[in-house]
Amino acid sequence: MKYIFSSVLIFLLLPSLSSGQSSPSHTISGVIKAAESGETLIGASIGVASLKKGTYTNDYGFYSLTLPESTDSIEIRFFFAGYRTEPRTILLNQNIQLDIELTIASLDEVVIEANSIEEQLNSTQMSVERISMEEAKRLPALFGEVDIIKTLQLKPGVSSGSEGSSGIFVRGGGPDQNLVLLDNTVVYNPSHLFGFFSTFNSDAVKDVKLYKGGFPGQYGGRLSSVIDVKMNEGNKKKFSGAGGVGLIASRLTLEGPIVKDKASFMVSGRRTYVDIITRQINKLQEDNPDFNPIPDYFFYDFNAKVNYELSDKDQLFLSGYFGRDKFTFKDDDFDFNFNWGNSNATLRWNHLFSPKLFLNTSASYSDYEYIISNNFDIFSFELGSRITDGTFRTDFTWIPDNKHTVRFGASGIYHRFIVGRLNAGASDESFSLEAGQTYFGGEYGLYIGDDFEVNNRVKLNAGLRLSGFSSDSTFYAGVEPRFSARITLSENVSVKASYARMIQYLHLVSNSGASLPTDIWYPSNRRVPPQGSHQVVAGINISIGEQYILSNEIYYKWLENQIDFRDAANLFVNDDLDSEFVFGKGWAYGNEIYIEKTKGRLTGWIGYTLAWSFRQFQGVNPNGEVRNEDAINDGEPIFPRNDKRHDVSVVALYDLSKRWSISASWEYRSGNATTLPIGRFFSFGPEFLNLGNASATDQDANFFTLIPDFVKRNSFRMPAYHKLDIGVVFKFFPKWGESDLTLSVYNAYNRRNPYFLYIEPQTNDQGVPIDNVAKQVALFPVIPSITYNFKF
Amino acid sequence: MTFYIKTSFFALLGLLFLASCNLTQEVDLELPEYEEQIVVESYLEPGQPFLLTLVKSSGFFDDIELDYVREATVTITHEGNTDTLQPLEIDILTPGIEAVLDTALLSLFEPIIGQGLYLYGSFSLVPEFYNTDFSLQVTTKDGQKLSAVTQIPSPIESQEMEYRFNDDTMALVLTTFQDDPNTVDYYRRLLVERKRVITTDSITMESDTTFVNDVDQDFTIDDEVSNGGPIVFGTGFDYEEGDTLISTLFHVTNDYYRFIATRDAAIQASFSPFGQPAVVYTNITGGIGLFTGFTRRRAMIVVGE
Repeated sequence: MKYIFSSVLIFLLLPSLSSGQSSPSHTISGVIKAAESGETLIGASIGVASLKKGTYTNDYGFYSLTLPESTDSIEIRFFFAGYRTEPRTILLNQNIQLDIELTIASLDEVVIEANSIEEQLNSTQMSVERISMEEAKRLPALFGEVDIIKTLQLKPGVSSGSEGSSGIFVRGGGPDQNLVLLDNTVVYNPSHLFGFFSTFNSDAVKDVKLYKGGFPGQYGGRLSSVIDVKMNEGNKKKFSGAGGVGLIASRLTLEGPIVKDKASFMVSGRRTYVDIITRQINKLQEDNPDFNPIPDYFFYDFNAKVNYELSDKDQLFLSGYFGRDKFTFKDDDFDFNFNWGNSNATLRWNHLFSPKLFLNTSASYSDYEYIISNNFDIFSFELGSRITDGTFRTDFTWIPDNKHTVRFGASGIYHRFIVGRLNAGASDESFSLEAGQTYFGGEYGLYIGDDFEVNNRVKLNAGLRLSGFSSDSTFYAGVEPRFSARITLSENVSVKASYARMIQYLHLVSNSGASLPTDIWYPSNRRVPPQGSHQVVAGINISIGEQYILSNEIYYKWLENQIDFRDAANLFVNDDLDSEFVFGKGWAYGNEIYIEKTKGRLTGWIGYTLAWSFRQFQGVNPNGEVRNEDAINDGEPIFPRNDKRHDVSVVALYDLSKRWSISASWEYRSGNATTLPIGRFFSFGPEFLNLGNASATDQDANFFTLIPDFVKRNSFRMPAYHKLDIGVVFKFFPKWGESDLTLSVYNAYNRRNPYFLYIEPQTNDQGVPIDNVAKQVALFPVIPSITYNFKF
Repeated sequence: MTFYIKTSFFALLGLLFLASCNLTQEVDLELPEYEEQIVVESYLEPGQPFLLTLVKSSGFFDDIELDYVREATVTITHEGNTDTLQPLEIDILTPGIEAVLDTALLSLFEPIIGQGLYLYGSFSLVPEFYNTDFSLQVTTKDGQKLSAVTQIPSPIESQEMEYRFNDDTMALVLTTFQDDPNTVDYYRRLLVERKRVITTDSITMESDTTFVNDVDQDFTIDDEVSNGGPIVFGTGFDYEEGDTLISTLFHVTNDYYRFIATRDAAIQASFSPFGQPAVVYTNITGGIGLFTGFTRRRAMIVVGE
């Protein structure tokens, strides 16, 4: 503990020590916004060429740059990708507040630039991917549905679980090890329909950042990644809208001022309509006795946000998300419903104490639940699980001088977990049954970090996060140091390194090959310790001319207290879920190389990842005992399902003219690890002889079963996955705004990528198994789709 | 429960398949050489003879046929007494064998088992020793040793069956029994509908009545959901007046429960993308399979009587 306080003290003292040695200086600060909408711009650059000084706006558009006092005018340039650079000349003899509005560049000038080369070279932050919505919208997409998560999957070190899935696996981590934030609130299940579509409506999203390593101190609670999504704030200048009509879904976004330049709103909705078609098919086939009705399925999501500028120094935001997937199947005596979805709300207050101290405080609510219900005859049952959070967090950014940016803050989360809640009964009260558990937990975080420019060549970021979790009369505390460094070797080359310790107190209970809505979030408790990781990363960034940046990162990650489940674990209705867990460890390492062309008519990138990931479960149960029967693969290291040796992505976007642009992406991934039976044996069952008591009444039940012998988990590889997607965008310029037709061709060369392998027993005329045949199932052949998008 | 979830997932997948065609194709899998194992199966039930099967497992794509382990020495020890099980070679064509074997059913499997069965058994009966150890020792002809220990759970006290009619002259059947609150228990529920089938010879016009058993429910559960209270199994309104239903309630061991759970998971995973492949649980040291004991209690109801 003494060490922790000493560290905090050192962090706090560092800026004052260095600032005490500098000459008189003044601070220029403000917010950078888009002129057309009043939206704050995240990551906009502010540079003073004559002094070789610069900075970037934070997640709320705020910047602060402290410069030495000057008797001569200096030129400051404000820049953001896709916008016209705004130069300003100022005389810096006092602190200046300067809010800037940048204008979108004309069509001829438009460049698509995700991360500025300069920022990548200069920042201490590494292992971060940022995508622009413009970029995501131009890339081809499955059924034409723009998906920011799938765009992230095209970046090195990030992969999907299976074909078409928007699940994310980062640097050998698991699907539960990603912290997905929407306006500072956690989204526990960020996908619709098995993970084939993400919950994020691209029209409502402003900015997406993915951290794969080198995590800043304000993030905690997950081991492998942070996906930080910010919603649009709403146009403060004029009423506007955007939307699209696609093959399976339509969407509409409306935004506008409530009080011009002071307050605005944004609402956005999306809904699929496959159910409307399937209902018609069912209706047409009503009289066909051989027809099995198609179940009803649809999803929708709804985003809303309002913001109000209370003063020059205060701004309030209220944002929310609500989404549901609904699946229904009804017939004469069967009424089955399966609903799941997230609800999120955030109230946020930004306050500027001074040009050097910025505050962001938020209170948020997050909820995810699934409910399965069925009614037949007089019986009914309902099964569900739910996680609900109430979160309070406050984050300060203090920029005491031009060498330091100190971030510190605190957070507290109240969790409520309802696990496997079952209500079953009969309307005549002949029986009723209830099961399930409710748990509570508190998660706490306290952090501080300083981005410290030691000199022109060396910049350090050192931070510390203290975390804690209480549940089930148990308290866990963790110390999570974070460190990163950048050394500039030349104007075009910088090398970086980082270390991050992460602790995860929540666990996703999932025993399936797919990412399912029924996966349950579960707290650490007396018997289930938190997961932990250490990750080290080293990398180099090289800018090649003004248009290219090449980066290479090598990482190694150690994972502690990884969770798997006993074979055939019962995860649905089980009041003693802990007993199904087995604990182990993991490790992952790899190399990611990435080259991106950021400017010009042709933009895009090529990424290649070579990676290994391992887990080892030696049969440690929740009581800390080692039981050989629970060891996975006899306790030897195994590849997790999503271990992929090679991962290549090539993305190209090309502007043919003002009206036409084309894009293409090609992906290649080594096959997933999978489990296949290599042997088999017969089980005679207890009724194979009708001797004595085993009379004929029981004989048909479990007679002579052929059982596959899986032997080793994840010891095979699926065939490699590869596909090419092509997109064409044709723009119209009507008087009322903009519109376009976007053609997407998913899987253009019709590759049959295996979704899963299965064994089909071959039987003789009497139904007796005589042979086995292996088959693979692909989900998506070539799928062309067209989407009409508009904006006014 | 799992059924409903899986049903919905498959139905959702079905929606996706609507947009596609010809997406399933046969593939050649090169599996590594499989190391065959000896599979033991024996279910001890008080009052019944000791019986045990001993076969070898085989590679997944090998020809499907039974490979018996012959001439092994098999003993079962309980309360200081040792029973030696003798090899029994049974020809299913032997006249009179129908009295102890369902030869009609076995004949379906002739391509696999041929015309004979090779078992180990004794004519002494399993004693009514509940919750005490029974130890199995197997030594094969080539010296391989296998062993296991199990117990026989005491029988449940009783189960009650009742029917209830709805307005459409259809009935449901409820089966109720009491779980022991002092022990962790595992059960197997088996509900069989005995259907009367009357066939008439078209020439002689003579009628013949036979019974066909349809298994309506067969699953294992633990007592987690009842916590020592009554456990009720229901059915839908599927039965008419005169239908005969037989409920068999097995009180089984944790070993049996896990064997069935992992067996079902393994079978499920071999054809479902949502299945979690499981190594089938075994309590056999030196081999695979199951050595277990159980008791069963049966009740019957004729709907409307």
